[in-house]
Order: sequence, then C-alpha cells, then structure tokens
Amino acid sequence: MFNQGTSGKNFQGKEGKSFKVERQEELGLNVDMTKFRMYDYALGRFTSIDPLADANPQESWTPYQYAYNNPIRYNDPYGDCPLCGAVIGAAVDYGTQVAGNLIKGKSFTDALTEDISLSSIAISAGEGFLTSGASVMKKVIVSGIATIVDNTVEVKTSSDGLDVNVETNPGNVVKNVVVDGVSDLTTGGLAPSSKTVKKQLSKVGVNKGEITKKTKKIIKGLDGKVSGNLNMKIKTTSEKFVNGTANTLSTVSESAIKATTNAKKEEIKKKTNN
Amino acid sequence: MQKKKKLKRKQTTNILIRIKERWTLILFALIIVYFSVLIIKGELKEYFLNNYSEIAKGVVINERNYFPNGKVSNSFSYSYKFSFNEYIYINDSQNKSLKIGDTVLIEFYPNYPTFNRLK
Repeated sequence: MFNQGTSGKNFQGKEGKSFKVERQEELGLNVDMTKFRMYDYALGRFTSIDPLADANPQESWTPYQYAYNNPIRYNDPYGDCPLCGAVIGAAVDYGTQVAGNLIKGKSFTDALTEDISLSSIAISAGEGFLTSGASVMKKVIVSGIATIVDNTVEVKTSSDGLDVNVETNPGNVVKNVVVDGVSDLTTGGLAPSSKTVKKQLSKVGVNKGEITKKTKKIIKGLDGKVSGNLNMKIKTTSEKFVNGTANTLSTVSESAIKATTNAKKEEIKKKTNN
Repeated sequence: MQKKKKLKRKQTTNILIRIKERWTLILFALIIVYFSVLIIKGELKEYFLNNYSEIAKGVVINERNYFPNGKVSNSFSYSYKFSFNEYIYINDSQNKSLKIGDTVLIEFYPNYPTFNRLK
C-alpha cells in the first residue's frame, strides 16, 4: 500500500467514536496522527509499536503493522484489534436470537441452543468484519448484500439436527429484504444511540473525569504514587470503559427491541409470501 | 395554599424532566428486568413441571405462533388448549409438526395451570 495514506478518511472506531486522522504537515514529517501513534503513510507502517502488542498474537511478525498490512480487507483505526468487528457482530446476532427464544417462551437452557439460525450468525460476523471502520457507502452496500443472503439461505438448529431452507422465489427475497430494512430503520430509531447513553451515564456520575478521580483516590489511599505515565493510563482506560459501556448499552437496547419484534416480522413475511 | 400547589406542580415537572433526561437508563433497566423475569419464570416452570405435574388431554387449535429466528422458513407452531377446573388454558405448543385438531397430552402444575407444556 505504498503512498496509500489514511488521511482524510473518517474511521468508525471500535468504541463507536468517529474521528478524523490528522495529517501532520507543519514539520514536513509526512505522518498521520492517529489516536495512539503516528502513521508513516509513505512506508505504510506505524512509527511506534501497537499499544496492545502483547495482548494480540501479532508480536511474531511485527507490532508496527496496520490492520495486518491489508488496509483494504481489514479496518482497525485504533490499531489494536482488526478482528473485533466479526466477534461483536456474531455475539450480538446470537444474543438477539436467544432473547427472541426467551420471548417465545422457551426455558433459558433451550433458548441457548434451540432454533438458532447459524447462517444468520455467520452473515452477521462477516458483516461486522467488513463494516467495522468502513465508509458509510461500503456499510450500506455490505449490509444490503448481507440482508439479501440472509433472506435467501437459512441453516438453523432444531431438535432433529440442522434445518436447511432456501428461498427460490426472487420476488419473495426482494419483498423480505424491504421488510427487514423498514424494521431495522424503526428499531434503530427507537433505540438510544451510544452518544445519548454516554450523556446520560455522565449525569449519573459514570464519566471519564469521575472514574479517573476515584481511581486516583483509591491508589493514593493505598499509599501509592500516581506518576504521569500511570495518570495517562488511568485516563485512557476510564475513557475506554465509559465508551465501551455506552456502546454496549446502546447495542443491547437495539437488540432487545429487535428480539421483541422478530416473531411479528416473520409472520408478516410468511403472510405476504407468494 | 397557592404556594403548596406551585411547589407540587414544580415537583411533578421536576420528576418528569428527570425521567425524560434519564429515559435511556430507565429503558435499559426495564430491558434487564423484563429478561430476568422471563428467565426466572422459565426456570420455575421447568422445576414445577418436572416435580409436581399432572396430565390432561388437550386439542390443537388454529392460533399460529411464529418462531423469531427463521428469515427463510418463517416457521410457526399452533397453540393447544385444555381445561382444568372449568377454566380454559391456551399455550404455544412450540412443535412444528402438530396440526389443527390433533389431540395432545399436556403436563401442568395444578396450583398454577398457566405453567403447562406438551408431554
């Protein structure tokens, strides 16, 4: 990716925060400033190591790389977890399905395993993987394709093993994709965004400043010293915690609303199918 | 008197504002409570039906309950109904192979017959 650069692109961070990478032009260094480190766009490498180099199995080759040296396939604005999108996508889809089973009246143990659409989980993982950090256009295209595939092929767990269903009528696929789209827009509109949740959490004392203050108090109470480096670490961790909590609450609310409407949606689809 | 009324009005508006300000947190709390109730209810039902159940005959009726996770199959199960102590109870059979009019055996907990399932 020689001279590819990252400047001018809006990344969707895994903490749900959109930030613009700043190109450092004053000093003639030819670098982009990202959240944690500087990126040399001519080399296609970061100039310092990944803050989570020890946590990920990437030390074996180089902690200086960006998104496994494949910025077209992977997107990792924080430079610490290129595969997070897939894991989160699969987990959210599975959680929504389990919630739907519980609403249907299944016991908790049955809800975890019965009537789970494996194809839907795989598609959500793929979608999450391809859209984390992607541009709005790419997101729309990938989500559209994912919804079409989701409405065409289905592999589902059942008491007799696996159930495989394929929709052969293209008219039904198109109509069901539209039903899904309208339903997603509605549930997305009803659920609070992570920004709103963050604001409200802040009002009840869950904010970066409060958490940093309390953590420092505890450390000082234990006769510890808060060095400049530790102070920075506490601040970054607090920010990550607040953003992560807000993101999780927002996703959980959206999934719960989706789970309550899913059965009704399937009923509408069945009644309108040819 | 007027002051008291004004104070009351102020208090109610304050509560409304507070609810409006924190509605996302309230929504989240409601979601947690709702799913906790569902899980606890499901486990209680399993426990009572495994240990103290009685058996009755029921019939499958024309009431469809759709499964939530099938985007292509759009599968559903019919409800069944049975009577106990002159009351009629209706529940989702959760079994795709049953057809309207089929006679089925039902386990239920006699002290709270709303807890029931196919045998």
